Amino acid sequence: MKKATMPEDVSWADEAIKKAHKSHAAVNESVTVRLKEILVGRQSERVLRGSELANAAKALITDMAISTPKAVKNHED
Amino acid sequence: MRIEIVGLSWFRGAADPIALDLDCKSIVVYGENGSGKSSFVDAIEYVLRGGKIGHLSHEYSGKRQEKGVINTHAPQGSKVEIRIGFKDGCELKTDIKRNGSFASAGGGAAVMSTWEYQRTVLRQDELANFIRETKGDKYSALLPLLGLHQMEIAAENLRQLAKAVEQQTKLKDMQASLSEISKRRKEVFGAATGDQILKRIGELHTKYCEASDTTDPLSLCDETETALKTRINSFTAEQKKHLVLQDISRSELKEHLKAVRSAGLKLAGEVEPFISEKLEVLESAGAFSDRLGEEEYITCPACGRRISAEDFRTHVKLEKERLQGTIDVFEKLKEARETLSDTIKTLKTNLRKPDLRSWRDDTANRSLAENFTYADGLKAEVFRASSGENELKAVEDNLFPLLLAASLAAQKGPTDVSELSADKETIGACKALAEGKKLSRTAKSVEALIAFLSEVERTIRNSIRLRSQQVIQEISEDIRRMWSILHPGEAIEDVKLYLPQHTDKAIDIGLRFFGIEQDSPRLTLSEGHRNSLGLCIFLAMAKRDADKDCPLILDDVVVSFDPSSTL
Repeated sequence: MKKATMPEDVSWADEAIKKAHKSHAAVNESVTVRLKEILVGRQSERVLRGSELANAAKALITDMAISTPKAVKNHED
Repeated sequence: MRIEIVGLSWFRGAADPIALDLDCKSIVVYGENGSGKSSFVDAIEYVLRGGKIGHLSHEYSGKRQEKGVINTHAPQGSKVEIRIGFKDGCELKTDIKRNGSFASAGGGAAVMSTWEYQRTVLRQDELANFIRETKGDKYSALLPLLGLHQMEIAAENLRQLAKAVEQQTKLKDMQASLSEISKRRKEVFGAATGDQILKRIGELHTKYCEASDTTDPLSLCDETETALKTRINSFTAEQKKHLVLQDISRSELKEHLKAVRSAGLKLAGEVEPFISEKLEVLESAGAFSDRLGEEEYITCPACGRRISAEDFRTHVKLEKERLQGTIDVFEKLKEARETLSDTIKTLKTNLRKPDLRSWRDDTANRSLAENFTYADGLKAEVFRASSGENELKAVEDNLFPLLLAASLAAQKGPTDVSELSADKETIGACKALAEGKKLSRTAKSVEALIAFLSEVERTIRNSIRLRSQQVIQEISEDIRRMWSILHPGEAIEDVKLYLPQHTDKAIDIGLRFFGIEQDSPRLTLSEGHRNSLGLCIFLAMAKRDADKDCPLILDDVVVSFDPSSTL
């Protein structure tokens, strides 16, 4: 049976994100917004695994505007 | 919301439709063993746990527990049903199909969706199990009841996300590349400053290219590299030969071979196949664990035993953590082998270049014919998978003399070729540095993201600890009072829940036994005492949520209490 959605106090998530953001200002707004959604939104009912985890991580990487280049190799073929 | 009636049809011990009429009162149900009393509790548990009953979670009850849930004598076509009626007249009706699938309907669903199983139902075996559980399991069991489950999931998700970000961005590879680039910078430019290197790029650009408006260092390097290639293409055969010899003489084969040896030493040869196999199993088990859905029990892909999915996940996680040091050394060796394989491949390519044919023929005629034959037949890819001492020694014996011969010959090359070759190397290093800057920016962003996720996790874990401490202090007061009612004048005092120091995700039960502090009731309490302690904890938790309008259902919880208990 699906559990009813209870209104919960989720200020702990806001506080933790705000506190961490003070010492990691390089992290942008999109990351903090998405992270809050992950922590207290619809994905917060279970531990993320497999593709769900991979997609969430990918979204954060994109939000942070990180391109994932191939590691520079010091060798020629 | 009070329960008016619980009706069962062919569910568990109910061979015929039967109803337990509670009339919205608190009641005690008694009767012969096997008469079906617990079937009513099973029905509540089945509904609250979404079609599962804890004591039926074993391989004999079927995938959906259909072999245990449906009465074994249920005639074909009979309806298997649970009906729970409430004081306000609403009802929850659950129909169970023969294959174990079920569907619930009725207004009662909304009522029961707010009841937490662990706070509502307590069964005999659950008392003993709770006391027996590890402090980690107690933490997992109590956390939802403390109202901190969502925070714990959030903290775990943050930990997993940090790991996933590190893997997806290949942060370790980026860091390894940056360390290689920094090493090459020292080799090529020594202690030169960034400005001095930029000046050198400008000089080389002026030397080989026509004047242009380009200012970006990477573009300047690209243009210089193209100009160098054009110039090399116009070289005579003799010049081209010396250029290849210069490239060969710069091969880092010796260093890379040494790196493989050094990493290999850390993984003793005889342990390696075992570790490799173990890591492979762990890798597959990890992938299998990631794919698991909501199954409660699974067949372990490694040993074939039927175990709980949660136990399997925990086991894989612990094994990974235990083997992390070995995994790191193993990765280092793998990386060193890949580099060696690449270097051998490059060397082979250079040795086979048509430009080098005349030198090669001369040298082979003198004394190194066998070395060339070895080099030609060498499969560089083999070194990616394994490299025993014999193989490394053969590389050393056969390729090092070729490198030496090439270096000697390169020294005799025309000055213009040596100069161009050195410039080509310098511009290559400049280009790597310029690309490295970009890579360094990316690595810093990834590191910032991971550090951010880790700090959010740390803050949430601190909050969980603070909140748990506060809540379990309140609960402990009630546990102590209930205990003193059940066991007046006994030498067991100050019963409490506590958070063990220096351990995350752990809750345990402490007490004083004849005045001496005990870290666990398992040290001194009899089984009967442990069971009454479990009941105290359950009732203290339930009391905390007394305003939640949810019933308490106790099933045989006093069966093994010590007779002296005042119940």
